[in-house]
Amino acid sequence: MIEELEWTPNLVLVDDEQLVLSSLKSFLSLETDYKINTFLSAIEALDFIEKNDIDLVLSDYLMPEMDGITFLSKVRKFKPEIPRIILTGYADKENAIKAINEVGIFQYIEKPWDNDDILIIIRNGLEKQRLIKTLQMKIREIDKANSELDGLQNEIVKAFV
Amino acid sequence: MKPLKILYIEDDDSQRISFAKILRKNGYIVTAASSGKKGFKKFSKSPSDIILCDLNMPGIDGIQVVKKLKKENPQVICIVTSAHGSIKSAMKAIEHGAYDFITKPLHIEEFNSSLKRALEQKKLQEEIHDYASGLEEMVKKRTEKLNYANKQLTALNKLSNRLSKFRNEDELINIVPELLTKSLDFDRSLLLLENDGKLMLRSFYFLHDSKKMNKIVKRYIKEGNFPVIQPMPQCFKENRTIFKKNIKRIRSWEINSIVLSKRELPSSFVLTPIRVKNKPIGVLAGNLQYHPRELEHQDIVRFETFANIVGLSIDKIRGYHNLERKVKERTRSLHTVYIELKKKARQLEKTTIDLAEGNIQLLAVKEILEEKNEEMQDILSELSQRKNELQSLLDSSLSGILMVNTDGKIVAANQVFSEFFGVDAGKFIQKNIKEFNKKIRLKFAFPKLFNEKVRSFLKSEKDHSVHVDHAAMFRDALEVLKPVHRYLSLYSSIVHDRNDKIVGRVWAYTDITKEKESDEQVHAIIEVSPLPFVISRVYDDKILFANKPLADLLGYKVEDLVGKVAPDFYYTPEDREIVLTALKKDGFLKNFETQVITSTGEPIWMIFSLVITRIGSESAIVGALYDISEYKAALDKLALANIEIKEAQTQLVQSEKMASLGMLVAGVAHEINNPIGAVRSMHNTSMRAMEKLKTEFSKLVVNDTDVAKEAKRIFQIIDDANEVIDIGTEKVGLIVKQLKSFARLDEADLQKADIHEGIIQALMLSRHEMGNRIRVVKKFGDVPKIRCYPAKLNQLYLNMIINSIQAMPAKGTLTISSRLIGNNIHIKFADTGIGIPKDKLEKIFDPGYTTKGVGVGTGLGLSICYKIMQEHNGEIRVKSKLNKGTTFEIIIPTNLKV
Repeated sequence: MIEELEWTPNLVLVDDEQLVLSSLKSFLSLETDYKINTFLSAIEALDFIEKNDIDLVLSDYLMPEMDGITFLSKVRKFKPEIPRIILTGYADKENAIKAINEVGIFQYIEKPWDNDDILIIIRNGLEKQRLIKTLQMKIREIDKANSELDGLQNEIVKAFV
Repeated sequence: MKPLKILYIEDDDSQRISFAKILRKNGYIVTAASSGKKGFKKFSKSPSDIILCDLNMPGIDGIQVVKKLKKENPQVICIVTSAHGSIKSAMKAIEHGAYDFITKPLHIEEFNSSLKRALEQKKLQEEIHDYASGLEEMVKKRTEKLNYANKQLTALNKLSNRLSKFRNEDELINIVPELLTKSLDFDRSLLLLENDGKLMLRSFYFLHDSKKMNKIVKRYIKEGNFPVIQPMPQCFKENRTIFKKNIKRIRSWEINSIVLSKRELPSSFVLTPIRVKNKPIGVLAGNLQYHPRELEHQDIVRFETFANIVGLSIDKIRGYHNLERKVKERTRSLHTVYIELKKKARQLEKTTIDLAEGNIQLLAVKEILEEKNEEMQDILSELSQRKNELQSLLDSSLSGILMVNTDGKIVAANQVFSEFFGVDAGKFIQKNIKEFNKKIRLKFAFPKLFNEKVRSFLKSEKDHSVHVDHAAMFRDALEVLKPVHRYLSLYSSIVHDRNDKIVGRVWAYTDITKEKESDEQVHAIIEVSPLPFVISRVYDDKILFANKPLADLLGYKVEDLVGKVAPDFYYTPEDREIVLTALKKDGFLKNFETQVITSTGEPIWMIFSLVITRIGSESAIVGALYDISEYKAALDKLALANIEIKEAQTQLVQSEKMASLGMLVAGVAHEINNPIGAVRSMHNTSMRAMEKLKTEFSKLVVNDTDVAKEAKRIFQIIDDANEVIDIGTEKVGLIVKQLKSFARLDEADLQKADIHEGIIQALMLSRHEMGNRIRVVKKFGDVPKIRCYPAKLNQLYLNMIINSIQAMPAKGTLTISSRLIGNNIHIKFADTGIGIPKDKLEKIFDPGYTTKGVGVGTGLGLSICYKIMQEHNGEIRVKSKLNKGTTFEIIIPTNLKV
């Protein structure tokens, strides 16, 4: 039996506009118990993601320091398993598809967004993350069991010798 | 004897009434009936002894009447009446039991005699019936008699038929006696006809007489000297039948001596007149000489009947012949008249033609005479004029002129000539040229050469012109030789009289030294000039001289150019006229530009200056030319480039405008996008929070309390407010979305798009302009998405819509329709506006063309629309009717490839 993962997802939201961050954070806080970390600066966000255990990243496309695609591609470099969502003001599917292909984006959301849409997308992303995490946990447990077995074996060998 | 009862059946009323009257007068009791049917009725009521019945009746005809009555009442006597010529039916009636037939019109005598016979017959029959038992012999005899009579009657009838067929009187007359003899059983028959008050024998038939007898009589008739019967027999005179029985002796007047009673046999004869229209025209005679039988009353009646038939037949023939003759005579006289008329007409015609010809000839002669006279007058006046002219010509000529006749005598000479040779030539008129030659002081340096030339002219008897352009030496008055270069132009011309006979020779000398020298200078200058030069003669436009640069330029050789006609080189004939006009007016023309045709036929641009001058003895045009084709080409290119630049500039400005507008729209949209996104999201959040609050609140507060009620009211207000905010922000969001989508600045690339979506967006953006006055009708067909530049097409749609709106200042309807035809999508924007005038319709796609003031509209000219359609390999068309509206049609291929 695999135990259910008791887990509070940790999210990072990045947008150069406080309005967007506030509204998203308010909405998610109301509807979920996720831990929400908001950043106006992509660079600060990168630093935070590197140092913390993060389950999902949502970023705006058009930002002054670096655009959303660049930012998310950097995230992928050191935390490839984290689902990445991009929020874009351009109704440009071609660019979005390009981004998904190049940077491996989980989903893109058009501005202005629909709260329900965004909630579902985030949940789906987290579900994927949860499965990955559970898998990792199971692997760790097996590894632990395996090493325990290894220890026992060593003790048995010692006893015989 | 008691009176006889007659039933008279006749359909013709007048006939019936009149003849019935006659019958009654003659002592008969008459019952009349108008038809067969009525006749039957009357007969059955009161039987009559005699039936007199018309043959030809409607309904029951005479034959049927006879048939029926005779069958039922054999004792009844039936007599039928018939029109002439219907003997056949009469015979039929007789066959059916009728006793006799009487030809119409009816005569009582005829009827009486017929009736008499009938009664006799009846009586006989009765007698036969009475004496049948004991008197066989008698019966036999009677029967024979009856048969005989019957036979004769039948024969008579046949005869009548036969005679009626004759058309020739002589033939008829010839056959009558034979027929009479045979059919009525006579021995001899004669036919005599009255002629000039005498009776002549015309034909006869002797049955039993000798051949000799026949011959004699025939001869008499043939020779025409047959003795006439004298005096006229009684029968002819009295117009009645004479009948003699058993006479022993014949009186000469009764039958002429030729009808001799040869022997002393008893002889009977009948003489009866042949009547035409009841007048006797001759006599028919019958004689029984050898026959054993006796003539009876019936024989006489038959004889008379026969004579009557003959008379009728003759009458008919004569009538016919008379008519025929008349017609012939008339035809003949008409023909004669016609021929005469024709002849006269022909003569008349001939006379008329002769007269006309004579007249024409006279006129022609007159005309010729008049003409000749006029000519003579003209010639005379012309001659005197010529004489004067000639003298003034001679006097005014710049050349020295001498005229010599064939005898060598000087006929005329002018002043110049005298001066030229230093002798008064007038003094030598009518004197020999040799005397003149002796006196002249002019001596040629090379007299031999000169004289040879002159002599050769004289020999040839032709006109000559020559420039004697060698150096000549002139001696002055003191006989001192002075070497002078002189150029002489010598012209010699033969003088002919009107018969082409040579009567003399004219000499004209001109000193052309000066001209010659200046020409040479001009030629030399032109020859060495690097610029193209040309000299052409004025009077025939021929090129006299051209230099090499010109020849090279035009692609000819110099020799080829000389002799050609200058106007042939003008590419634009009108330019030639301009040049001539200018030269006539000013004598020169400067810097004229025109195209000149080269040897290949290609025109090249040249600039030239021309001046009229004298070259030699002639007026000529000297022209200096310069090739400016390259310059022209450059100029054309420049003009073209200029146009292109202008076009490009306009488009650039328009594109720039549009681009910056797009940028602005996009920027604004983006700027609005974030806040509106945040607001919508946050509003949604707050609504969700509100719902949660409500749930929590309801757990805390008991229902139906004041607090609960107040809370509920406030919640309702919040809900209403939220709804408004929700709808409002949604709308703003949508507009922003559409703005972004419309500008599509990021979509320069070709991609699939729905044209209807673009049109709807364009309509949305122009809604403000439309207000309520424009009704929009969308008739979108089923069209596929197409590969295109959506942003550009959107611009185009917007422009179309804005144009339409502006074309409808008052109310109007804009109909936008789309349709797939083949591989193309056709989109129509049809307005009901003011329309575009025809002359402007062509210009509307030109860059920069606008009817609107600056700043009106979107800044997109129709030329940009045109360009956009070009980029889509599409087409844009326009149709317009003033005050009715304009329709723009856009055709975009569905399979665009770039």
